[in-house]
Amino acid sequence: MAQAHPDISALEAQAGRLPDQMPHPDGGSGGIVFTDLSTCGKLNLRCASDVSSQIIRFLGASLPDKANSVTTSGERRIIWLGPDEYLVLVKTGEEDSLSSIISSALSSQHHAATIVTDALACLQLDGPAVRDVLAKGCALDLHDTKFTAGMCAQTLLASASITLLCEGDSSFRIICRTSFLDYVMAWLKDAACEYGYYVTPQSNI
Amino acid sequence: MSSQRYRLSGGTTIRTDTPLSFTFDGKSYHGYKGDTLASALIAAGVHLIGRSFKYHRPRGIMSAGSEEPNALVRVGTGAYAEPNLKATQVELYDGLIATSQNRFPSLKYDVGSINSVMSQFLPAGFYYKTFMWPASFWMTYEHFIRNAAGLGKVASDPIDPERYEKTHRHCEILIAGGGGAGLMAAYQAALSGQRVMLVDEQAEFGGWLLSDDAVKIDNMPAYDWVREMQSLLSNMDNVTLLPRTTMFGYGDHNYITLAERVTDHLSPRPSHLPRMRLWKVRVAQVILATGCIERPLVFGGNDLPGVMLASAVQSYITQYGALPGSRAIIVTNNDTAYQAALAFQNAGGFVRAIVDTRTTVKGAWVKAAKDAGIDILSGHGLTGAYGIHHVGRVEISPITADGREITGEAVHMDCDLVMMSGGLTPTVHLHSQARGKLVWDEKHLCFKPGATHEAEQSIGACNGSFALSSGLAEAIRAATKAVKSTGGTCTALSVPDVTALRINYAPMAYWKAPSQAGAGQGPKAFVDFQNDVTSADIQLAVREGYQSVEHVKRYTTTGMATDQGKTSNMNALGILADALGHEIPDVGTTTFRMPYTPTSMGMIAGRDIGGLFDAVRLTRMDSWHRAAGAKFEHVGQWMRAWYYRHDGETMEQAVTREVLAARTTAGLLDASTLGKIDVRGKDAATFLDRIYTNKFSSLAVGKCRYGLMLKDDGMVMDDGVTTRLADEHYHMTTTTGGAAGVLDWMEEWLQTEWPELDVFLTSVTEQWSVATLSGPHARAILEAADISVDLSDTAFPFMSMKQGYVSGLPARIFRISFTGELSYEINVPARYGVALWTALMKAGEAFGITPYGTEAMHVLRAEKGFIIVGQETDGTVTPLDLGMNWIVSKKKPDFIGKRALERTSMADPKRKQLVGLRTDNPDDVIPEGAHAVLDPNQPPPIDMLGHVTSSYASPNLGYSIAMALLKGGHKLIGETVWIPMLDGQKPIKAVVTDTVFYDAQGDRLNGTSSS
Repeated sequence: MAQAHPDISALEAQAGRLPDQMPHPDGGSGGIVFTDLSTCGKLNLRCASDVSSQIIRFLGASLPDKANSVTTSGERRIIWLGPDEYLVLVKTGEEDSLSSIISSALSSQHHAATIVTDALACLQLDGPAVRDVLAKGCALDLHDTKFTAGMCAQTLLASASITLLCEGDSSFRIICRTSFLDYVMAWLKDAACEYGYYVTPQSNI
Repeated sequence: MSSQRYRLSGGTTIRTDTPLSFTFDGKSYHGYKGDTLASALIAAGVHLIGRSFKYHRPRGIMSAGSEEPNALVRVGTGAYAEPNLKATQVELYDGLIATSQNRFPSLKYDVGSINSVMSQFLPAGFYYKTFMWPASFWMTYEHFIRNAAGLGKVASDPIDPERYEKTHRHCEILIAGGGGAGLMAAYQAALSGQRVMLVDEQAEFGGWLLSDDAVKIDNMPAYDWVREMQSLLSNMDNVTLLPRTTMFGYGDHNYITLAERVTDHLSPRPSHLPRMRLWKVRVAQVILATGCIERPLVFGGNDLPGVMLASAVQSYITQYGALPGSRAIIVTNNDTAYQAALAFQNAGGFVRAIVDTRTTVKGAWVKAAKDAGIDILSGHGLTGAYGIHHVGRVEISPITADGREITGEAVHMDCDLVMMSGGLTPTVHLHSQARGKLVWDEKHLCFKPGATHEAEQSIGACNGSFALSSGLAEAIRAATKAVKSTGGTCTALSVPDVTALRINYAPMAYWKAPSQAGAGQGPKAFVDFQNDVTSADIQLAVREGYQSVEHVKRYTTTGMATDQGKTSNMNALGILADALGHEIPDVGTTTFRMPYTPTSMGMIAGRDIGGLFDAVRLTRMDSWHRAAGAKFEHVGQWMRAWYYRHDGETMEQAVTREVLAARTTAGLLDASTLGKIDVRGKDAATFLDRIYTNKFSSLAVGKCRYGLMLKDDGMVMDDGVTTRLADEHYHMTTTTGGAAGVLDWMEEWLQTEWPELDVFLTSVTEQWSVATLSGPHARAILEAADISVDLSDTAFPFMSMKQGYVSGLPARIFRISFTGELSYEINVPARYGVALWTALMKAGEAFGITPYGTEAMHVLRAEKGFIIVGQETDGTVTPLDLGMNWIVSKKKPDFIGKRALERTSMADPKRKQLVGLRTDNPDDVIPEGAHAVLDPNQPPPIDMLGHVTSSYASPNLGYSIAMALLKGGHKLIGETVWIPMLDGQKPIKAVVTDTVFYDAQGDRLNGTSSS
């Protein structure tokens, strides 16, 4: 007979109320660490891809020219969302000025730089179990030779729409609408029970 | 404690250093790690395992695999109990509790076995016949049949306490079945470096090789070769080995579903692991190496405990070290049983005779049997097996060369084991699920894979290549081909050297034993053991006129049990073909469907249960609402505060309190869930003019306008208020549930129809937290909350927007109203949601501010006759039907839906139109969805006018109000209609009115007038 696990079964009925720390079942260190980076600045940029050279000096990196890819400059991430849509992650508070600078630089072109800092949540996931945890809710090929650093995808995690960024072999980011954050976090903790997890306090990038 | 009297030394999977104890029907037994429940029971000498489905006949263990039709047990207790598990598939663990099924009061003395005596009244098609005639009798039968029907009992607790999970994987090559061919293919494929998955339903890889002690591969005993392959594979990073995993479903485009039993075999079970895991795998190339299943022979009494498949006996001896009997009769129509007979004899059993239906027998195995001194009765059939709870005696008769007639006197022999072999059936289930074709193999009398539909190959026994050497050769060929087609490379290995006695796998066509008894007389000869279908049932079906195999299957239920006819289908086809006088390939076969073996529903649900069943979306003020005791309702995926229940209040009292407060003092609503779309670009105004029925290019900057969106069929799709933030910049709001659909809809028009328009759309729904302050004191409260903008009517008129600060928070304030009261929607960057809400609650405290939920919002807007898209509309309602002609521009050259609205039928006065209803009795609240009629006394069918879309008790008006879509409704205003009620209640009388019930002049929008 299965032994009732005090940490999991008691919380079965109220999924989403798992504690912020679940020790690794074998007593080792946590299989995955979750860090809420939601306070980082976020800018949704709609523009033609050929304006990249006009704004590269403000952005610090060129617009990604490959579908489902990310360009990086320090903490900045420029995420490809569509042929004329990008999401820019910047340090907390940088989005206002960046938005104005881009808008003036592109004033003669059709564009829209919309601040979505509060609309989107951003989670950092680190640890050896990260791909296995994500695979429980994401149908994409997440193998470490197929979904590599610098790639991104707009996909589903269980029943939530997310944007998934690969930051390294065992490091990912999830961006979702803030309204889904509670569900996504509850789902992730539940899926990570098998490996152990630790939720760090919210942090700025 | 019972000893393991029939335990042999050895057993390729048995670990005698790990003894385990378990109970069966309350009695304790011992076994070892590596045992199945079936092998442990056999080692203990237990053969009576259960009672059959229909006749409650005693049944034992027939097979050693997932094809087992008889030995079904219930494992576990309480909420953990699971019925109908095959004892042959239940891996033994310490403390396992198993019980027999389908018996009362006990396995040995079962009341239901009276059915066996009454069986002449339970013929083929029994259920069908009782359904069909006389129809009225079914009600009588049903009560009795329901009690008797079913197999096993599910856990009484409705909640399964086990944890189940699901996961996704991708790989280039997946191999189903880890026997000789599967292991070989996996290794060959893995050498390419491509990702390879090897799955096998058994606890250990090796398949038949675990049971074959007579074969050598590269001069190694087969089992050693298995271990070597397994160790090679487990050291390769690109290989995933999944034992205890059934590939149960083969979907389109190589979408493969696997059921992994993760912890069922462990005791105690580690609770951080799921009991089962569903793997959903996308595979480039599938290789099926699923082996074959030995067929039973059909003779009277072939279902008695102690009658087993010959191959299963060999498995119990060689793999599990358990001897299933001491005196055996072997009956066969082919060579394969000879090896089993020798295994039995070598294990210390006594072989009384091999009864071979073939007239001439020859070959290496026959010689080996003869050399071992075993009697061979060729040209004989086993024509009956007898015993009460176990086989004790058999009848053997000389038969004709075609096996159809008995030619002489029968002899009787005593025995405690019958080992039968009717030939091998390739396990083509998965190939067939993948829409692969089957072809008839006349030599081996079986169907084997033909043309494939998916990227899959069958190898080894499931491909009709029963000899190990050909299976290994096919494995290497198939794996190199698969590697190549996935873009990889590998060098083909040489085929391992197989040393084995040659077997002639071709059986004699002998689908049922001849009998001297008349049709339907004599001992029952079972074809489908699990559903208790006999050869006589199939013959009866043919006599009653059934010809199609699909019809015979359904009429007799053969092949329709949980084993999907794994042991019965071929015999049923053979008997059917005989009875029809056709050849088997002309009769055809039935379709195999997923799951290959029964699969737990819990696993399919996985963690999509309870709070994780579906995503819920929360606003930033959610925690405040919860703390305030709000009840919530689902609106799409959103959780919205429905009403705030104070101690001792009913829902009705709470809603009444909230509704009254919004009209007398002030109410505060969390409106954050409304869809918000940022519309930008030089053509934004043109775009909105085409999307909405009314004009937005004429809207001044800083002004708001209500708009209605239609689908291209002219039907109302969504509504909301859109505000011009700048010349080329609008802020659109949509309904809560329609937000995503509206954004997609508009993107589609921009991308596919109007690419020339320079417009960008960005969803900003969650960027803003929105609090709607509504009521006569709204202005005073905002002033108390330190609003930085002038709220006077002249400076800030109705339908306009100002930016400023509220309690120091940056805000966009929209003066718009969904209640008809003076109302402001305050938008702040979402992170300030709770700060705004608490600031307004504090500022409003002295003014009687009251938070209200969606229910009060519904009542308030209904008093004003404001529609809710999706409640007053259902995709068949035009603006004209709603009486909203005023919002449909006559001047605009075009907008989506314009052309459809111009069709003459749209102006049909008989269309359903939105009207108000006021009940004669002010206390009658009409149920929403109820239908209205003009004359409730009209003889049926009564002419329906239409249905009620919204209905509430209105606290402000003191009577009940409703809206309804009625045929020609606008012309009915002033008329009386009736709403017939269910359950004999009197119809409700109501008068048709305008939809605006309250403050028709709109004075209250300024917060100054009173009414």
